[in-house]
Amino acid sequence: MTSLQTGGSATVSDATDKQLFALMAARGDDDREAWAEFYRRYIDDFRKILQRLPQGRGDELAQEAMIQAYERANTFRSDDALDADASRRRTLAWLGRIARNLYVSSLRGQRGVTVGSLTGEDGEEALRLSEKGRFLARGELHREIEELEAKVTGTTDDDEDEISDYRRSLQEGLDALTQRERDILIATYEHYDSAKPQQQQRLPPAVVEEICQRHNINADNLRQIRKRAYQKLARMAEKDSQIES
Amino acid sequence: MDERIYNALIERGWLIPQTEEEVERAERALARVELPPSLSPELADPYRLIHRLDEIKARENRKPLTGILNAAQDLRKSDDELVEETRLSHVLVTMFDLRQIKLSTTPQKVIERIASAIRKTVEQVTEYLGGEPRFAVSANYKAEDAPALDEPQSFADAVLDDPTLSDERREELLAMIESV
Repeated sequence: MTSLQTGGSATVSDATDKQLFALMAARGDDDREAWAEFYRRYIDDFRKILQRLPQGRGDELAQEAMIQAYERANTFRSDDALDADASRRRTLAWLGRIARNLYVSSLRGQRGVTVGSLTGEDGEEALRLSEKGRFLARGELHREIEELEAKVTGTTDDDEDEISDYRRSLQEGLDALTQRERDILIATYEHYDSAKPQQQQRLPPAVVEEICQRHNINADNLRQIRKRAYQKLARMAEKDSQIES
Repeated sequence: MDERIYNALIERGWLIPQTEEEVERAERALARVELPPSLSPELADPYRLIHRLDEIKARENRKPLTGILNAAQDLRKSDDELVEETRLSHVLVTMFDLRQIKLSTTPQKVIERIASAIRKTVEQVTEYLGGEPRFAVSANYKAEDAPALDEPQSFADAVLDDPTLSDERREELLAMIESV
């Protein structure tokens, strides 16, 4: 094993993640071995997280993210205050951000659904993108979310049983979605920023256009499809609460 | 409801986790489902992909250098480390970064040390140092016309004028000039 240049550890396999990143970033004699060790350390856990992605590209995405990790090793910021588990999750989250960018970029390269699949599934007419339909009005997306939430509210975060039932019913609701509903819901939430309050969640107009182009629909269609998806999820939650009462 | 749906998508594995908390959520959910097949030997072997790292390096080596300090930062090298490896001074390193030292007067050995320190080729560093002098990033001015930069100094003058150099290092650098 190669002797490390930083940190004093004897071998790459003994190195901390921080040391591995430093070696990769330094582009010195140990960088390839450091990357190989990093890869071996994380590939299994990381690809498991990606296994259930709808496109079925978990393994490929995991590998690509690992390669990009080498290229971007200089951007990783470790936190010495974290314990081993937290440090591992931090690294996985960093890899997750790389993977999501790769995933979204790859979806942008895909063509949208065909006209046939648009009309076949829901009976809707395929409409050409129009200037008017191109952008959702500001706040419209979130008004519809608020309307649906008004139907579903009743669960509170104080009741642990209600939270897990709600979560289960959400998962069952996701099972009930059509492929397109699922894809649009996921595309919407790829741009969700959990650090922002709900009132500030906005899909940028360019993103709306991109989603519409990907699925060959207009903004009204997108809103209707997503609303249908939310309604399915809400119905599952209602059904669950009715069974209990 | 936004956050609950978002979390449900993370737990389902349909969205890639972006934070430590989301990773934890995703892994907890994974523990409740049937595990994916075990890692295949092909996927487990990093050396099948090592050539991709070489491609990255080759691409990086082809890119024109945008700054010596930038390149050092990309390698997560501190200014002090850069100064030590090049055996220059902070002042001289900055002057080289701003192209305020004439390339034609700079000993080849200094260029080689800079190249080695920032993991670039001698050609990349030479090309960079031969460019037009530039202002420091933080410089600003209020005059209507942009001030003109002074002509670059010779390496010898820069070394002699640098008050931060130790005598030993100054002698070493001046000796390089004489040996050219």
